[in-house]
Amino acid sequence: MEVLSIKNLHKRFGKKLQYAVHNASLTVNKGELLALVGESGSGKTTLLRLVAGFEEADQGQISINGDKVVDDNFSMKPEKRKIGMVFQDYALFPHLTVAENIKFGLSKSQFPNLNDRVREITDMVGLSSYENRYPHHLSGGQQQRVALARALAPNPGLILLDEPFSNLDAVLKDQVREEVRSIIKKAGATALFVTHDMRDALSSADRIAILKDGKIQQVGTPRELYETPKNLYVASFFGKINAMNATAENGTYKLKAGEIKGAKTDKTGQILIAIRPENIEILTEPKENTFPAKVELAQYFGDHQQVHADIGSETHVVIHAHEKILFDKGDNIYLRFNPNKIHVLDTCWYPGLVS
Amino acid sequence: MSILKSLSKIKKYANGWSFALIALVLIIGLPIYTLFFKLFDKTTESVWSHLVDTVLTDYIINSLGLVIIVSILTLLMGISSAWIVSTCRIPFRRQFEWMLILPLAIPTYIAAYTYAGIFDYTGPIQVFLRDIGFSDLVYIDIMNFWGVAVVMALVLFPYVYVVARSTFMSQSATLLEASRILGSSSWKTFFKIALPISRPAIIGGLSLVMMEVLNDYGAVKYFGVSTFTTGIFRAWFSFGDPNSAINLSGILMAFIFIMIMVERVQRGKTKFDEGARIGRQLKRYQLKGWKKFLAWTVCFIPLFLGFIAPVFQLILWSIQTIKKIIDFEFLILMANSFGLALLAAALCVAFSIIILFAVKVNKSHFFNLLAKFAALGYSIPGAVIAIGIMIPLLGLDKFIINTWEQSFNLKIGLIFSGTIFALTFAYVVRFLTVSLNPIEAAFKKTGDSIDEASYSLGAGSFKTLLKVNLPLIKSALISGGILVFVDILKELPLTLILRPFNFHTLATKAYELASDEMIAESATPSLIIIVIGTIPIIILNRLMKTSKSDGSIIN
Repeated sequence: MEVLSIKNLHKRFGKKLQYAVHNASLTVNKGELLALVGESGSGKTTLLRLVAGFEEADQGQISINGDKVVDDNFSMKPEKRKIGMVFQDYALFPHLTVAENIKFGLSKSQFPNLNDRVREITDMVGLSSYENRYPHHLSGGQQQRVALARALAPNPGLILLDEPFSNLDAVLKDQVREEVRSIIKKAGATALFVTHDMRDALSSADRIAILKDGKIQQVGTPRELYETPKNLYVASFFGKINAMNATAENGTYKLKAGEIKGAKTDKTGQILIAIRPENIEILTEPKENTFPAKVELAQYFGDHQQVHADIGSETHVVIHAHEKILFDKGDNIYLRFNPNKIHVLDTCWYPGLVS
Repeated sequence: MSILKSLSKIKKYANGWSFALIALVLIIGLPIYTLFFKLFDKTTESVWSHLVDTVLTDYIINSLGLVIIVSILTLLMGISSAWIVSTCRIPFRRQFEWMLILPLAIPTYIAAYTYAGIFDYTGPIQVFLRDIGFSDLVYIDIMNFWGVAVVMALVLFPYVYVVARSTFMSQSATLLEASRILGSSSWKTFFKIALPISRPAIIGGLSLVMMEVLNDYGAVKYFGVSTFTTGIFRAWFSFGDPNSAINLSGILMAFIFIMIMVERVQRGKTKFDEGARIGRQLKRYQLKGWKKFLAWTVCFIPLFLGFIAPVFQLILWSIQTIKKIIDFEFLILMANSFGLALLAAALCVAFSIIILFAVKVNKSHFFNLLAKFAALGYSIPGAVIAIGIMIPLLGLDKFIINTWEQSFNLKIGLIFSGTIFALTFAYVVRFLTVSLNPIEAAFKKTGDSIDEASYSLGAGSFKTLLKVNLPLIKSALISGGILVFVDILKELPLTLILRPFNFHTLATKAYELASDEMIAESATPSLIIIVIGTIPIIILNRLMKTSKSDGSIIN
């Protein structure tokens, strides 16, 4: 069942030409954690604030649990939307204790005994012995759990998290990501969260939506995004990738420097292909279907070597080699591209990025 | 579609807060509209042309002259003492640091008649001169332009001192040390580095001095110097020509407008003071010998003449006359003053909350401008506000009285004008700025995400204000209220014009006694005003200290 449904949402600030959110459509299913990932300025936070009701859309619809909250010339007030939200700076009320913060959003009609509900929630987030503390007496991680508890307490249909991990230091981050995910799952809540850090998304989210320039580039599970990226932008979000112009013909990619045979593809004509550094094999002897190359730079990283190689015709590639042999600048090597690991990308979206 | 769009945009802003904001701003702007519309009205030709022919040049020369001379004097006293207190080690430096603000507690009119009394024929200075053998030959006459300029500067220089000190203190030591390592003397460092960096802030403080000079009525009137404010009083009370008073107000406002513009431009040009904030504090210079004595004197003289001497004299007079002064009537006087100040201060705080929260709820440039407009009052001299409120209220009263007489054949008195209502109204118009500023700063500090958190938890705007915002800005509400309270207690020109018949406050009573050659008798109410005036100074000083200790900068 869809908890959140966004259709063709547009938002522009002031008289700017550029859209902050451009024709965004997205659904989040019950019990799902969806991460909105993008660089700063990609529109991810705006999209979240549109869902929360702190910004007003220019066009498009949003429904939460089947109720229209945004439509043409209609926008439900944030306090009516029954959404929980965890803010980047947590926004805990500094003059209220942990229990009072959690109680703030609870109503007697929903929970006849408010104190029981507060106890239940603090137990769930593991803060039951901190109920009477004030926020400034808590550590960053604890404050965040209070913020989460406060958002979850009224049993909202949807909870939104704005950069939930950005205020934590690296050591704490790993632990908190796990905690937040398990608390949300335990509460049976549906969540949408915004992050600029792909690792946040990979470790906590069920599905990921990648935004760039206000547009949603691709939505999918981490594996789908990694294995079948739609364009170079999505592909590059997971680390290094080699992109090259090619011509496809009968399962063969023709590059300027040579040919890669044996691909299972029905594409023909001018295309953009991409292959990850670990999917290129380095050989010391020429074999069938290999490219002769020259090492330009080799960096040793312990578990792998990063090798920059020139395959001629002004084409350069990066390889992650796990072989025991150490390469050095000027070495002659032979590269084999795994034809099944080559992605065909959408060329029309980011031609500027093609190297 | 586009009409629908703009309609829905307007609908977005259609809430109780925006209506309240618009209503408040409309009402608070009343004196400004009066000025604007009445400025082009016909004056009683003979009065206005008479004023133009005889005294208008005097008004312009005296007002502008006072602004210039007082500015120069306050700059000299304020900057020099601030520099010494922040960069040199002198005996009692810590005490000087806060005591140099104390002169601000003495209103200009009290300083004026106290000094007049001190230099009077029977005053301590003349008596002393006669005792040591100078006969009546030496008579120091301070009852003129130069006298009033010096007296005003003596109690107004802390406006410059406070801002200069805080910028000198927050300037990074490395900056000043860099200048010295490059071979500049400490004088060159002061003139080439410290002063230029502090200029925008100091000009801000100076503009407050100028406002006070143009607002003053009591001091110039007492010293017999005719300025725009005394002119407005004369046109209104002696010639009975409100339109001439309006014209004078119009010219005065034009001056003030130019002043504000100059200040804005000055500030806009210089953005560098922010960046220079980080870094250690300067190690203070250790002065020796006559330099140390000179530095100490530069700090002591303004403090002595601006606070210690007049307060000491007032205490002496008060001891002489307190038996005669304290009676039942005096208690009523106190109750009037305190009650009125409390009422107006409470209203100012309440209106500030409504205006600022309305801006917070309806984020829009337009509402922001409206709030700025509501804060204009402090730059308008009290006499001008009084005239601007008196004229429309009198008209309204006349209209009501006439209609009642015609329709019910009943005679009724004045309802709005010449009542506490008019006075309270005028106080709110003039002093709203004073409470708006600290409350706005506090609202800014709490930030928006706390509000959004409250909304996301299902609270409406009213609950958000009551349960989240107000508890968090409590101390700003209190200090804003105290600042307004004290300002109202000191206020003279506006109260003189608008007070109901036979109604007195501490300020008007003190001024009336002094004007009736009973300076010694005026000492007790004056002292009460001064003592209460020191409260905000102590609060401010404590605020600065605490902010220093936790390392944050509160401006």
